[in-house]
Amino acid sequence: MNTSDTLVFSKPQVLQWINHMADKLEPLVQDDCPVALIGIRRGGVDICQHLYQELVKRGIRLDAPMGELNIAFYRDDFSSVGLHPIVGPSQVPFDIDKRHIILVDDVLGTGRTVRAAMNEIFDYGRPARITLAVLVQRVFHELPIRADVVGHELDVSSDEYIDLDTADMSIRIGVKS
Amino acid sequence: MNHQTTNSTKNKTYIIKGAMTSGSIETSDVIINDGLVVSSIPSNTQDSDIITVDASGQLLLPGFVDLYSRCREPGQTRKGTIASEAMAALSSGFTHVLCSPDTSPVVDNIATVELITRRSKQVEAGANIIPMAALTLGLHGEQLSELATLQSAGCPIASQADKPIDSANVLYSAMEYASSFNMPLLMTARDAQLGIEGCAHSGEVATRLGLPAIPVAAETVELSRLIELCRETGCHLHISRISSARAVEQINDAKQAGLPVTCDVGIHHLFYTEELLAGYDSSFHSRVPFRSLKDRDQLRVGLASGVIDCICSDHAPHDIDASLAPFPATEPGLSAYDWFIPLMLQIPQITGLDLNDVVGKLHHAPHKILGNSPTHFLTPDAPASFFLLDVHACCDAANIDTFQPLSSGKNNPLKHHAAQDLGLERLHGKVGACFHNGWASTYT
Amino acid sequence: MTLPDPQFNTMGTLQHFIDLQGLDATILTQILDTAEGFTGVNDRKIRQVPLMRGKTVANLFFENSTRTRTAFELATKRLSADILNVDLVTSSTSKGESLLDTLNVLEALQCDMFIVRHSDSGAAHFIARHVSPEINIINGGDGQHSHPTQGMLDMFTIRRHKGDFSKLCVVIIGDIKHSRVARSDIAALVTLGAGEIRVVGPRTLMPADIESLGVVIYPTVESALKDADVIMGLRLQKERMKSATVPSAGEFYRTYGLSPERLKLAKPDALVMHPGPTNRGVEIAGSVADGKQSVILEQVTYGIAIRMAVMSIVMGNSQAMQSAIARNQDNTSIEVTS
Repeated sequence: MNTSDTLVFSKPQVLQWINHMADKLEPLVQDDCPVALIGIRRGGVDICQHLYQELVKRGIRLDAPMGELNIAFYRDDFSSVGLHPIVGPSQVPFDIDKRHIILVDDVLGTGRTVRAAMNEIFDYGRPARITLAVLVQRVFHELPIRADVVGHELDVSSDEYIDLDTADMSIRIGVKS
Repeated sequence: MNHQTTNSTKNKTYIIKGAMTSGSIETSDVIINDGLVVSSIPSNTQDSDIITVDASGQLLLPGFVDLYSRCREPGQTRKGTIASEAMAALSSGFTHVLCSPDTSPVVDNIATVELITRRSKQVEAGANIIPMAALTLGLHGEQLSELATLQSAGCPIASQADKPIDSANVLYSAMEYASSFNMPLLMTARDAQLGIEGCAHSGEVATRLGLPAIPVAAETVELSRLIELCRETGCHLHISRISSARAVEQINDAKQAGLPVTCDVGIHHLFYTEELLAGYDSSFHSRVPFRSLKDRDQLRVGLASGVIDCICSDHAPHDIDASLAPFPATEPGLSAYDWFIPLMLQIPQITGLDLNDVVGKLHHAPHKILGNSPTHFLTPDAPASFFLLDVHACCDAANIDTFQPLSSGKNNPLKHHAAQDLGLERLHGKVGACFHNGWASTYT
Repeated sequence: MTLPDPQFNTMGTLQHFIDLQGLDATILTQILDTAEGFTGVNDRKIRQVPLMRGKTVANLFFENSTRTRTAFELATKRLSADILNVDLVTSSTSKGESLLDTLNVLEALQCDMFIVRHSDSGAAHFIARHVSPEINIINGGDGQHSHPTQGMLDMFTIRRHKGDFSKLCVVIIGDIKHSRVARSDIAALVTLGAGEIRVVGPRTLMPADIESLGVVIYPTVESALKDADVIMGLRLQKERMKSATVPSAGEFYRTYGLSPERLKLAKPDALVMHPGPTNRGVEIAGSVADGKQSVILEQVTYGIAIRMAVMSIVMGNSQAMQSAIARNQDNTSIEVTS
């Protein structure tokens, strides 16, 4: 892939989007229901960590550590691409039941990842509510799933990719090779 | 079919021109009349009955004698018949084939002997199939067969096949009894219990594959017993298909002590080792196991030094079902004839013997063990029983995809593997024609 | 030189799981990592994932084994696949039906995966070479050759407790000769770079040239246990006492049994492992089997995650291959028609 095709949003821009997400989440999490954050591996976990810290900084009380989901066992493409490599197991160090779950991912595209993640969450218990928070929402999607909280909306075509580089927290956009 | 008898004719007069002996000396014209070698064409022969064979560049070799083979008839004709195996044997230069008595019924009665010899005679252009007498009734190792009767019916030798005799008492008697009629005993050295469940040489490969193992001692313990009983009884003991370095030493010691002991090695044991079993390749499943590299090398040395008298085929044709099972459950044995000549031609290279010596181990030596004293095979008035060999001919067996064996048994590793993958040289050599029992067969 | 390894398909991925000999450290680590993911599933309220929904797995046990069969059955169910338990010990093959006929019937019944246990070494190799290319074979133990899922669950247990293999001294005690578990453990430990692998047992239970597998034979159990990090016992079959390989259970325990006194010779944090079922007072003292250092029951638990990992990896590989083949065929047919 040629770098000239790549559009980059650098870390400060990304952090600004995360702040924006926290702004929108603040009113949503201040009800009676206990809140917990879960990031979807891999990119969603990094966003989730930043978001968690930001919320704590703003004085929001989170009684549970954040969770991580590896959705490899719930993906719908097992029969065409096989098992995705396991980069780290799911960890949900709290009781899901009757909790308000903030499900965090880096990029919401087709919606298939979120569908898999929600299915997995329900195998841990019955949450009171799920709020979907994503750093970037693409306009293009394949399932009727839209985020409640969006850091930034990007209208890129389906033959382009959007990647979060977790090493320097930047966003890259380019044409799929 | 690439390998086929194209023409068999009987009782014509043949003039073979330009052939060479195994010592690479060109022979003068060899004339065959009425199945016998003659010095000149009889005057009353019509020209139309004379066939001239141009054998230039080919070797003229005496018919080979195989001291251990199986035709599977009677009993297991789905694996092979006397007709199919006699023809396969002849196309590989064998004119006389000693057949294991482990048929069904066992060769422990005259009727079976007569059946085998009659069927053998009915085969056009085939080797003579000669039954070995079962040493004990039903090969059960308990009661002696009627050895004298079987001998006069046409069994030159008695054998226990691959079945053990547990009782030293029975074995002792068998040796004493057989020696009363100068009947040699052909025995395989395999202990009745030690490693009896085994299917592979006890060594690195069997350990890795978890295969039940056959220790060398399974051979040497039984060999000691056989040799000691031979020392007591003076019976002519022929040890069939030895497999280990230690067995070569034991036979050598017995011979040095002047005992009437002879032995042979199966041709495949001069080439293959335990290593080839890796991956559970059941085409190397042999009842006499392929052992270590050191064992194989000592078999080569033993053949060169003369400790090992003969080479046999240990031919064991099987149907396809025999190999369709996990390795230990497959039936052991390799179908040898269709690949025999190219392997035989590689023996000089691996032993340092010359081809003439190798031919001796396939003709003169086994004849002697059978009690024959063969004159030179081209002596006038001797039955013509020899073949023409083109040593340089590209061997069909080298082309594993299209090669169709003559034997009913296709169970040979060379059916699936290229020669170089098995540590062999490129295969070459092919029987061009065979003259035997008045028949002349040419192979293309 | 020899027959190709039947475990790999034409795309070079793992199609069957038969033998740890021949698998590299990358594959073994992938299995361990995937199993790590499945242990989480097994700790949840709903211990099931939808990965293999709609697939049919057949448990083909030609040899009795309640434990392994149950573990595979549970693993299959937790992957949402259907399981068919075919008891072959008392059925068709003992009536003379050939092994291949049995397999052909199960293929015709559209099973996707066979778990095979057989008393002949090499049985899984044989079956893998003869089934249709889309079927997966998992070896549940073949003769004295291989028990690869047991080997991997042992590695998983060791890794969870000890992490790095390179510094470990592992001792395997007892009947190495007849043990497929020992062979699989040795193969995996060698591939994963274990520091030292010691074996000890009476000569009657040591196969020929065992050193060639990469182990060191120790003369006494005491010398072998010195400074050991991991101690693996093996089951001593009762038949051995009848067949003149071991005189008695008592003598075996006195000479090779893992007693509390002998355990003290190993490092204080040494793991005590056993593939089960244990013969208490033969291979191992009851107090050691139940003791603080014993991870015998953990091994059983991890066995489920390991089997889930292995099954989903090989089935995923063949799914990927089949869809790649289908894509190629589509592309070819488009080219032809256009």
